[in-house]
Amino acid sequence: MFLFLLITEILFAGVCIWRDPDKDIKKIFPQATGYKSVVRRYNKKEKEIIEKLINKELDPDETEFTFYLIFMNKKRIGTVLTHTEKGQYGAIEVVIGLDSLNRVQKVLIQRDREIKSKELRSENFLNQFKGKSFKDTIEINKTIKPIKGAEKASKSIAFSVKKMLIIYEILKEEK
Amino acid sequence: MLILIIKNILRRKIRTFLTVLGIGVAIFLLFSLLTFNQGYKNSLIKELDLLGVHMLAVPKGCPYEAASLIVHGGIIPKYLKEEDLKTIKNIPEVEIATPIFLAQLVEDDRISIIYGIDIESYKKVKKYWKVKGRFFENNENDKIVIGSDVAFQEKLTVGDEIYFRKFNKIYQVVGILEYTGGQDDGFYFLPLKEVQRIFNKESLITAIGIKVKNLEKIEEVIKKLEEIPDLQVVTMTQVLGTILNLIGQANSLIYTIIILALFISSLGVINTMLISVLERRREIGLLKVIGANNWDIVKLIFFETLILVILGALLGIILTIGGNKFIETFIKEIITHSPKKIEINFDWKIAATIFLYSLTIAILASIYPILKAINLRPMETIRSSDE
Repeated sequence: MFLFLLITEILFAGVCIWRDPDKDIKKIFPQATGYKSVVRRYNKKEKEIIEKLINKELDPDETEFTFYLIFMNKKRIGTVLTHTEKGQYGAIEVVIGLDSLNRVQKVLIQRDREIKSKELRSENFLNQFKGKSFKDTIEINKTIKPIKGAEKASKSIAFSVKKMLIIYEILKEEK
Repeated sequence: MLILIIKNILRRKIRTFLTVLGIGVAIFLLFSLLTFNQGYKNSLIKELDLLGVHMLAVPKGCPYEAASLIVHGGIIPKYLKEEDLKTIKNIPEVEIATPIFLAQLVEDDRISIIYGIDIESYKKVKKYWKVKGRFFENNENDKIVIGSDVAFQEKLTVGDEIYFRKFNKIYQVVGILEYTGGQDDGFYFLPLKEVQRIFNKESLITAIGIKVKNLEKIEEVIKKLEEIPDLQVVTMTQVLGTILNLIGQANSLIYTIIILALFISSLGVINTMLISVLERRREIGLLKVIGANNWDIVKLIFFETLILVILGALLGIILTIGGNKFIETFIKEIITHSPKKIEINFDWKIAATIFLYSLTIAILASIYPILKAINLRPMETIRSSDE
């Protein structure tokens, strides 16, 4: 019981939580049979690299990141990353599924308060991220066409994807 | 003698460890529950105090449930009328009567607690509120004030906008409450009229917070309030008493289990000491032969028991200090009407009680082994050991 409490007590430090893994896994990795989460903390040097690459400081509550490793039986088939970013009308929570080569397989919006929520959650918009890796440019009006009237929210989602790809690339290896 | 006692304790390391662990776990459970209860009560009093009113007028039904829902946020399906508010305001002993419309807004899987308030009167009961930005005016129907937790989760700052899909309306965040430590941190505050409008409940109120001018007149005020049809009053003292009573009932069962655990661990100590005496018959016999009197034997056994029990008590206290957070999480999961934050502090009085209890265990647990030891005949024990 105490181990359970210990696990539930582990702070996710305000970083976006994955609210409905079962439902999302079916959408991103229909063949998956399970997942496990790993928590990674960064050191000073890694923080500097991340902040330089995303061109923004990490939020004060982002002291650690949880990566969800997806399995089909015992074979690792991908990873799920989650992130919360400020949108136009409140926070936007993004779930990013990566394939085994760490390219975006699918992006889902977990929660948002946007007026154009339906459009932002549409495959037309979210499929633009498919196949992107951390090396790719993910920028509104360059590689990603924003939703008209929801430019700020579109930018937030694109930033979330880019940021998490970079963070995963830097912190993915167990130290 | 001390060396002899320590040597004996260390000679049977595993047995000593298991006995100490048994006492430690039992004391951990007792100590945790006692400190938690104390913390729970203090936090509940603090939380009710944060509500800032002496009593709540709520629609007839279960008044305690209604009061608890108002403190923690929830749906009350019955309403009071604005006329009731006017009647209450006309009672001379009433200093402040502030209307509240409480509603839950469900969007997808998200539940937001919306508090419709009359800002002028509400500010008077929430004197401790500090706001980043400003409060809205009662007629500013597109302005919102949010709690600090909401601002953190939604990543909102003063000047940002928030959109409620269900009402298709954008509100501008004009103020963010500074951390209160209470439930207010998780609420969205809007002008009363606006909340009544968006929920199609014009002129209806969920509750009325009441502060009286003179606390001695509280019974008089309650009598007058209870004359209003379909309305009942619940004082904060009643809410506190009822919730604590509910918790007390749940705790009785836990206490029974803990007392049993303590009893069993005490039997463990008696058992350990008895085996120790029986194993050391020859040693005790020799001590007697070389001049040790009964009092020396009593001291030997008693101090050994005392050391075991004190080690167990220390372990229990250390476990409690380290495990309080887990206990809090666990108990909050199973107990409803839980305060947002339960402040659990190390209480020296409780620690002293535990030590006193440990001393009692040591005395009781050592009686029988001592009697056994002092009744041993020295020559017989030496002879039987030789055989």
